[in-house]
Amino acid sequence: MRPAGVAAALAVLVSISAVAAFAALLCAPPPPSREGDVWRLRRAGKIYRFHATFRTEALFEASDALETLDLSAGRRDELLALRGRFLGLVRARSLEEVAADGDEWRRRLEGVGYIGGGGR
Amino acid sequence: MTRRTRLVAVLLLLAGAGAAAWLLRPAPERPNIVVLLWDTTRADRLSAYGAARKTTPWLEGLAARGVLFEQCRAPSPWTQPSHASLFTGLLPRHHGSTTLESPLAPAHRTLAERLKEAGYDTVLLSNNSLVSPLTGLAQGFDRFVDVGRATGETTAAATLEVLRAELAARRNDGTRVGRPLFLFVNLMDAHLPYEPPEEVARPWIPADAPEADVARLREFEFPRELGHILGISILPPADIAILRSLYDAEIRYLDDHGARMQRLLEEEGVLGGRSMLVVTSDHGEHLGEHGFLDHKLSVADVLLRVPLVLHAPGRFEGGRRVKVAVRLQDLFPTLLETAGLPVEGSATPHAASLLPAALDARPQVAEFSPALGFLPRMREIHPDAPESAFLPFHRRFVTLVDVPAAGRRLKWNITRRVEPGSSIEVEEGETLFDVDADPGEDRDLLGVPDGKEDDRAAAARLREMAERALGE
Repeated sequence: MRPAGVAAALAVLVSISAVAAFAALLCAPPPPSREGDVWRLRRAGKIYRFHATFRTEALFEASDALETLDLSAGRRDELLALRGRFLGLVRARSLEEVAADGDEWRRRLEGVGYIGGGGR
Repeated sequence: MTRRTRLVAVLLLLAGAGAAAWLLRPAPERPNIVVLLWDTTRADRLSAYGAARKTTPWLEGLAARGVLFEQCRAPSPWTQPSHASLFTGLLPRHHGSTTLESPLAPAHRTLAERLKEAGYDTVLLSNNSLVSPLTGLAQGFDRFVDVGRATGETTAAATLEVLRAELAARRNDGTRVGRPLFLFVNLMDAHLPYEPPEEVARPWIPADAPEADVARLREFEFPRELGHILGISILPPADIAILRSLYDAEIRYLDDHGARMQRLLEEEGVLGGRSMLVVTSDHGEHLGEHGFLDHKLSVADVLLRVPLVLHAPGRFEGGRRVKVAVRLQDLFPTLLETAGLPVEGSATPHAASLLPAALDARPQVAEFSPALGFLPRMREIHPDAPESAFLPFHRRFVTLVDVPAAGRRLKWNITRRVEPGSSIEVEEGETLFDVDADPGEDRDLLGVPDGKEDDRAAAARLREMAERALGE
C-alpha cells in the first residue's frame, strides 16, 4: 500500500475509533450523582439513594422522581445489586468507606437523640 | 403597488412593531417577599391570637395593617416535612421528605427555585440544621447562611446581625441589588431548650418559682422531654408552669426582634411599596397537655395550629381576620402568585392561593411518621424500662380537621402501629374532637358511652377524606 493509502486508512480508523468512543460516552450510564452527603445512582429503571451521613439506603422506581415510595424493604435483591454497582463506581469496598461531610450535622442530631436509621 | 400589496405591507409593519414592543416590554416588577418563620410557635400562646399575656404586640400591629389567618394548620408536627410542604405545596407523603434520611428530592421545583428562575435574589438564613442543604431544603437559594455556624448561637439577636450584614453585602453587589429579593428566615428561639435572655424572661416567670428550678428548666431538653412523654421521669406541674412561662418569654423575644427586623428591612428598602412580609411557623409545641412536651409522637392540635400573618400594603384590606381554615402549604401558590408567577394547579392539589378576597375553607390533613431514629438512644438511656414504654416510637399518626359545620370543627385522629422492619400497620384506634369547643382534645366524641350515631358517621366520612387526600 502506498503511503497515502496508509495515511487514509489510518485516518478512517482514527475517525471510526473517535466516533465509537463518542458513541460509548453518549450511551454510557450516568455516574452516581452527589448532593452533599446524598448519593444517587440511576440504573435499570430504579433510583438507588445512599445517605452517607446516616449510612442509610433507599430504592425508588425511576418514575418516582420525587422519591416518595421507598421499595428497599421488599426488593432486597435489587437493592443489593445496585449497592454493588454503586460501590464499584465510587471505588469503595463497603458503604462505611464512602466519605461523609455531614459529621457535624450528625453530631448535632445525635445531640438531640436522633440516630439515623435506628430501629429499622 | 396594488392595494393588496399595500395592505400586506401595512400588516407586516404592524406585526413587526407589535413583536418589537413585546420584545422590548419592561420586565414585570416583582415585589420583595420576606418570610419570618418562628419555628415551634403555636398560635394559641400569641396575644395576636387571643392569649391573655401580651406575647406579641408587634405582630398584633402588623396584623392590624395586614391580614391574620385564625385557623392555619401545618401538615406535620415537625420541621423538615412542614418546611418541605411550604416549599412545594405538597403534603408530606407526596413530597417524600418525611424522615431525616429522606432529603427533599432534587426533582422538585421548589418555591425558591421558581422565584430564582423569575429573577429573584434568593436568601435563606437558618437557625435550624434541618432547614439546610443537608435536607435538600436549601434548593434554589442563591445564599444560605447557617446562623449557628456563622455566629456560634441560634438566637433572633444573632440572626438580626447576620441579616444586617447580608443586606449590606447585597447593597454593595451590583449583580444582586437590582433584583427582587426572596428572603426566608428560620428562627429557633421557641424551640427547646427555652432560654430567653434573663432580662426578657424575668417578668414572665411565676413570682414564687425558685431560681434553681428556673435555671434547671432553662436547660431542659433531650432526653428529659422524651422521658416525661414516655412516663419514665415525669415533671411536676410547677416545672411545667415554669416551662410555659419561659416559652412565652421566647415568643415575646421573637416578637421584639420581628419589630427590629421589619425596621431594618424598611430602612434597607426591602420592605415597603408592594413588598410582602409573612410571619408564620412550621408547627406548634406541647406544653404539658396530656403528658406531652416538645413536638414528637402526636398530631394534637397544639402542634398543628400555627400563626399566619401577611402584610402586603395595597393587597389586603388592613386588619382583616380570616376565620376560614387554611394550610401552611397554601403559602406556596400564594407567594408564587404574589410574584406574578403561574401556579400549575395539578402540581398542588393540596395547596391554594390565599390572595383571593373570598376563600373556600380547606380540610387540613397532617401526619407524623414513626420516630424510630430516637429509639436506640432511649433504650441506651433507660435500659431498665420495659419495651412497652417505647411503643410510641413505632406509631404513625394521621389527622384531618374538617371545615366547620353545624357549629363544630371536627378533628379526626387515627393511630397506627408500624411493625418493626416492615410496612405492615396495625390500627390502634381513632378519636374525634370538636376543636373549637375543646381545643385541648379532652373529650373524645367517639369515646363517650352514649356516643351519637352522627359522630360515628362523621368519623367514617373524615377517615375517607383523609385516605383520599393521602392516596391510601
